[in-house]
Amino acid sequence: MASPLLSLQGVSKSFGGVQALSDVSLRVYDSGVLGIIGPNGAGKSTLAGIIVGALKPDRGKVFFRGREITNLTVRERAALGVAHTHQIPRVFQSLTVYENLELAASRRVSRRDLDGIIREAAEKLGLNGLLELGASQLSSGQLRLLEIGMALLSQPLLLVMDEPTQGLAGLEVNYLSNILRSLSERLAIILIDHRVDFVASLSNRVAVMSRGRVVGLGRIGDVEVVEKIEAVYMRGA
Amino acid sequence: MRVKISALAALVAPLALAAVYPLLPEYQRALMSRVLILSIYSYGYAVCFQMIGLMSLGHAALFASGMYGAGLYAFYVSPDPLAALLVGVAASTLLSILFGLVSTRVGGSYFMIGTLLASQALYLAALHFNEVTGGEQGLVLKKEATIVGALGPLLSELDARYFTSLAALTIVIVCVTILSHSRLGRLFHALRDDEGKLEALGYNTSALKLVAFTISGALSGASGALQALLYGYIGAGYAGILNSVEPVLWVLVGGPYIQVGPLLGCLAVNLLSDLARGLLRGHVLTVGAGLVAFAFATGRLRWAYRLLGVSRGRG
Repeated sequence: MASPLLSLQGVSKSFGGVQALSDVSLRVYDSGVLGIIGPNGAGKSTLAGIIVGALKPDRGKVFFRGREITNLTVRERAALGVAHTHQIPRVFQSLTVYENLELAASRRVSRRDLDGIIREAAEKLGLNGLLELGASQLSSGQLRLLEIGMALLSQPLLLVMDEPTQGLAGLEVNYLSNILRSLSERLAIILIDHRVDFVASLSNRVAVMSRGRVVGLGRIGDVEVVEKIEAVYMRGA
Repeated sequence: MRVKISALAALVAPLALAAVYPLLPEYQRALMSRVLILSIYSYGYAVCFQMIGLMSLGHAALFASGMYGAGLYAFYVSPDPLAALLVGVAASTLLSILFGLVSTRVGGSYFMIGTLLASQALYLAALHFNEVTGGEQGLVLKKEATIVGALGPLLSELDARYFTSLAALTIVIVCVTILSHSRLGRLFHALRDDEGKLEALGYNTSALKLVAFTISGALSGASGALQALLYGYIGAGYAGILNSVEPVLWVLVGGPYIQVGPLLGCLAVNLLSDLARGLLRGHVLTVGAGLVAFAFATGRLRWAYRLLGVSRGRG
């Protein structure tokens, strides 16, 4: 099997007396979606924070393309190709949609190609009519798409998406699903969401988390994984 | 469209200030000259406070370093006002880099306290080395060492002060307008909006803060240098805490358009302060009352900004 893009080895993290993550090990490969599901408090967002560098683990190591990145900052990991979208979309409110996308792209794209790439990305995301609008004027669904657009224009190898369906209506979730499906063919995505059906429909593999541990890992159709999902959601195990 | 209107206003403002000069009585001409110099300081402060959202309480030190750099050079080294101006700006730029290297690594109240302490250290140093700086009493420069002296054959003292400060202010307005619409300006606005997000896109936010702080300090120092070279006086009073607090009020009162806000705020506060001088004891009280009134009226001002179609806070 090919060497993993991202690898977590025995990662633990606690806040005060609360053990948020306990001995978590995961591998993510070059493309496809790894879904992470689990109830509130399972440690999903803490895991995302450790992968992108917003949090440092108490124990364990994080590797990216074979290089240890445990102690690298968010900025250093971004430079290596790790991008992140947040539970509540974070964009630059005082800038226009175009300017937001431009800031995201301009570190990787030459000035000559910048405009074309921004407009192409905006069209794919359905933001092409909104480019001159201030980000503060967007709906929550549009903000979500803008944040995804910014993440993609930074040309990542790994995209960590924390609760991307939060605040989205049914049609917007379908639209987002289609976008993620096409993206997953060319980059690795870690998809963290509480909507099991959404994660299941997109993921090649699923990690089921409960109380800071990965209690099940495999394909969504695997009997063992289904049992674990039922266990953590129905019985809180 | 709003951006174009604010940029146009920034270009019209200096023309209006030039046009109004012949209509002003002598006292108001002198007053306006001082206010125009302080407006450059206001723009300098706005680059730090308004563009990247860092509230400094130590900008008086940057203003004073420009003033001392220019004034001491003109007093001790050479009575060449242009060279003195450059020395003043260089001194404040250097001090801004030193201040910035330490203070921009922290944010919020730590930044405010750090800049306040650094500023007070410079103020005390100016008092301590009073045989060089003249301390609180200050030093008076020879007329030939000042800009007024150099322009003497061409313009009266009053005209020289007004039009030199107006010319300098025009250059600053043009530079700040260009900056606010440049890629660097957009990065500054993004930094103010969400530093963590900008970091996550791979930008070095500490370096960006240092650049903004240095530009801010250089403009503040230019204002201080012009103050010294147009009035022929330098004194430690300019490094005091009040001179750090006043630009906060100017920028707040001036509103969200960085192209014209710092000028409007500085004009409004200083002209009102001058009017109130006859009614109240000291303009310190006026400035304090202004800050308190502003704090209470913020909600109403937001409403006023919305009414004017201003919502993005950058212009």
